[in-house]
Amino acid sequence: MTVTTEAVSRPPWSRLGARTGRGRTGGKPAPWAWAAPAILLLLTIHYLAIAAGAWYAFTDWSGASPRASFIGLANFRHILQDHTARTALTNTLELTVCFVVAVNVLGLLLALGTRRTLKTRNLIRSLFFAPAVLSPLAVSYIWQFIFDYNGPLNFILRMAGMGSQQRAWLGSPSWALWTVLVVLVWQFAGLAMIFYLAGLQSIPDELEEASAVDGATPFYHFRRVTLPLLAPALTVSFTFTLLLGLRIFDQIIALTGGGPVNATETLATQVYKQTWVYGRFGYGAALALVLSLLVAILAFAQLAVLRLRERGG
Amino acid sequence: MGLFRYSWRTFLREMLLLALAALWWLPFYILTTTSVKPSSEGFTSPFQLPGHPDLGIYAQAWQGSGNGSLGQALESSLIITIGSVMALIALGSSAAYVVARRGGRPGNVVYLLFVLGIILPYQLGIVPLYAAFRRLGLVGNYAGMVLLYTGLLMPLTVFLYTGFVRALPRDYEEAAQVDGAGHGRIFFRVVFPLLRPVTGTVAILTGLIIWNDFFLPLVFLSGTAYITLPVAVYSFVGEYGAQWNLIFAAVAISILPVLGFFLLAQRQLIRSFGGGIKG
Amino acid sequence: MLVLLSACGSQSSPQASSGAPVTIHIETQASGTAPWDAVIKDFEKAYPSIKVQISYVPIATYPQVLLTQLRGGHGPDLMYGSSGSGNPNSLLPLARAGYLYDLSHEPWSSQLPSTFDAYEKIGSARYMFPLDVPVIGVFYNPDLFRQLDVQVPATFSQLLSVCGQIKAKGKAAWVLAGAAPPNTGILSMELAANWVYGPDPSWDAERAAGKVTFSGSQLWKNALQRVIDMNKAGCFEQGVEGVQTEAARQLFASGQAAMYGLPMAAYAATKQLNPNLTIATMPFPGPTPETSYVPVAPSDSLAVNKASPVRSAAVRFIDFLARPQEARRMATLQGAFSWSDYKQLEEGSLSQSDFQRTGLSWASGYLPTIRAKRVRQLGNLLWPNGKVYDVLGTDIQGLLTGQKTIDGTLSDMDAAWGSSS
Repeated sequence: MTVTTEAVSRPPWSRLGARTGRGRTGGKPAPWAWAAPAILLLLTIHYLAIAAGAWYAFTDWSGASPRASFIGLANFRHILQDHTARTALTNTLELTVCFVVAVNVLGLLLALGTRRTLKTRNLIRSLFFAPAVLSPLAVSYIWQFIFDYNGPLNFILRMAGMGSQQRAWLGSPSWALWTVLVVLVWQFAGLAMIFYLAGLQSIPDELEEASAVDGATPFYHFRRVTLPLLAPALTVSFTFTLLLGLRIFDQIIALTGGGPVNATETLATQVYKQTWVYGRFGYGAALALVLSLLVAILAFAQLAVLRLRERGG
Repeated sequence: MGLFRYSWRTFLREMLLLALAALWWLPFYILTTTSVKPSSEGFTSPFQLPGHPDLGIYAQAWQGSGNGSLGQALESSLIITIGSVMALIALGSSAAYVVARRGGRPGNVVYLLFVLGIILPYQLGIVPLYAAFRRLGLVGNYAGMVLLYTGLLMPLTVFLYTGFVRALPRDYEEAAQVDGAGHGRIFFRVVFPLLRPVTGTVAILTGLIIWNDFFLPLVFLSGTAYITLPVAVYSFVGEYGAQWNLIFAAVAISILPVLGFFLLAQRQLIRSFGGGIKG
Repeated sequence: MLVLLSACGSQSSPQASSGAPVTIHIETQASGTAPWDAVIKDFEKAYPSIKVQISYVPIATYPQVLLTQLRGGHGPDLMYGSSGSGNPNSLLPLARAGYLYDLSHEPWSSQLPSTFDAYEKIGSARYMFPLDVPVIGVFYNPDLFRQLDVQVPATFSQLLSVCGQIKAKGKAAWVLAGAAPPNTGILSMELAANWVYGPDPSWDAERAAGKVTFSGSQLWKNALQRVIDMNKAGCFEQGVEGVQTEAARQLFASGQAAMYGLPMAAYAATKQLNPNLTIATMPFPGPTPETSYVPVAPSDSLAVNKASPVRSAAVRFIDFLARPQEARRMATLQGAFSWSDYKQLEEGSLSQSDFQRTGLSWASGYLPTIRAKRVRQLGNLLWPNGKVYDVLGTDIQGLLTGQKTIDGTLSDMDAAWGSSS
């Protein structure tokens, strides 16, 4: 029985890999054929298709005009002088840094807080996770309503005797970006919690108990035992929320449209506007590539730091 | 064992978290109460319970708009989401297993290609993809949507799986190998069950992204009777404004299935493989 | 998995059961389905061999969806769009790119008012059919004016003083969706009709020829100054700079605000929010009643895909829509004039009883202005790209928050004008 399984599941070429890819402990690696469908999809749906579309970044194509002429790097040079693009870059970075930090701190606290012993832990987790289930558009409808001048938030402020603090939250040049941040943190803290919960599940109880028996303070215990073991979850959560933050789009378009006057404009909203509203497909494509480059640099820098920490314990 | 006992401090923690969770749910409270109020009442007293809750609005929302009923949209969304998530889990976990266990230069290069795939601006590829899918007869049907989402979200899936496989001790696999088990057996009997927490994460993440996406179904399914839930919900909002109660009712209907799924499945999804209780 | 995939796939192409019927696919923006439902039903009854499949695309993504499909070689057979070239969903750029079919040989084409040509034609070729002709003016709530004991303003200076009176009584005089560029844009086009195109109807042509600029135009400065005047006089609702379309509509429909600048086509959606609301109409109060103008354009249009495999059926659908009764049916449900009714209004040949029959009697406030030919272009539709109007709408929000000045706004518009490739 076992013999047949082995014969079927190990095609001849796997023996080649077995020699070169042998791990420290001498296990035989699985055959590449298992990864073939995923790799094929990756190469066609991502690399091939995107390469075909990325060509337009080097043209002046409008998106509808019959012709696109090659203009080399002119679009990229133009980005450097584009005042709105610079504002968008600043907003993107501010929003993303605050988003990643807030969401992960909150998510980790929620995961630790609802970890075990609580009688209602499943309920509490579900309640916190629920916003992540909503579509970005649904989220935007609800919060647009809440932030409306005649809406619930200003209503609370009036009731609390803080009527002077009432404002048009999403229309205020100095508040709009932070208002958007509140919505994003509300929506995604529960998602970060899920990453950390999954990570916590992989920590054997015995380790925790041993440390508890040693009489370690909770904080010491967290730093020395829990946090190092959470490193993989930390990496995944930070990477995912970073990617999410840098590319947040739907919520901003629906909440503020990037306004008032660029106050909440991000690179993602600029890509959309240039491409589809302003009829500058080539320029929008160039912006999209620049945004991806930024994402790549930040994501790999962050990954490198986190991996170092993972190894360092 | 003091760590797992229910003490008064645990009670305090529970109360604190419950209070915070209630605050977190205020928007949902507003969503549901507003949905059953007459549309003019919503703004005047946002926190008041509706005097005469009008549940008929849900029936009206269920009827949907010009694009079709919410029931039809629900079916489309379920088929596309479940199909794509299953394909992603099957193809992604096995690919990640190979990538992680192979290691070495080829493994790392392939891993890097997948990670770059997450970062690349997929929007740039949509027009070429649409043209290719149309030629292959994959426009206007579920199969095309499933293939599209499986491809688009494969990098994220492989990234998530690879990280967890790498952290997985090889002891179990080696033990199985010593027992003479083949790769298929090892993967399905030993590795895949150990990957349950990350499978849960993958299912939730990719499922949510697919469930909530509305641009791709608009492009790839237009001209057919199929629409997905987000498209249906969005259709309630016309150019010149909308009725909050109707929109909110549609939103409430659209989140129920996913929320229900999470409630039922979270015990399964976030289960430990280390041992003992938890859940 | 493969079994599942192929099972799903087999549901795809719907085959007709009898005869050889063709299906035409219309793609349009999601903004009310009633007008389409009505005409499609009529059409399918008149042409049993043609089925109509319509999809409604959310407005914000409509240009994106449509262009992706057209570029991918598989657009809808009939597509909705805005006439002219100044909106993201404008049809003339698609015509220039060769996607649209020339409709100028259809019987109705030569009967359309010649004022429509600039929006719909390139040379002698007409690329779209006008679904309706909305007048852009002011919706007001006559009951609220009566209840507050305030006179309906007929001039701009009256408007400013009315604003103070209404505000003093705890209501908003003028509701503006300050955070929604489409609505701030509409207000600015009403102001432009009165202060720019009123005195100088050919201003856009001069701008296109490069003879004038926005920033060098005293007329445009006058027009935008009116936004600031209205804001100072307390015309707008509280927190106007953060108000989105939905909330603005709600304020007006619930009787919290007295006036709202809108195209006629917004009527049905507004009534839907509050069926008991009485809506009356008037032109935007200009310098004097005799110099108050309204912008009018055949903005909502339908075009035929040149590459459509069922093009003749698609053209037949438009020919059907162009019949005066069908056109009126569709336009009325939309809340605007049909091309033929509007033509007769302009010519003064539509009698009062005929007008009652159009079902648009609520819009009679616009009649004297139209009959006196105090009608101006909806300039933004004729601008070269979508950015100029978007910048204008966005910067008006900036005028309200203090982020922008009039001169800054106008030079942004000049820069946007030149940015199209």
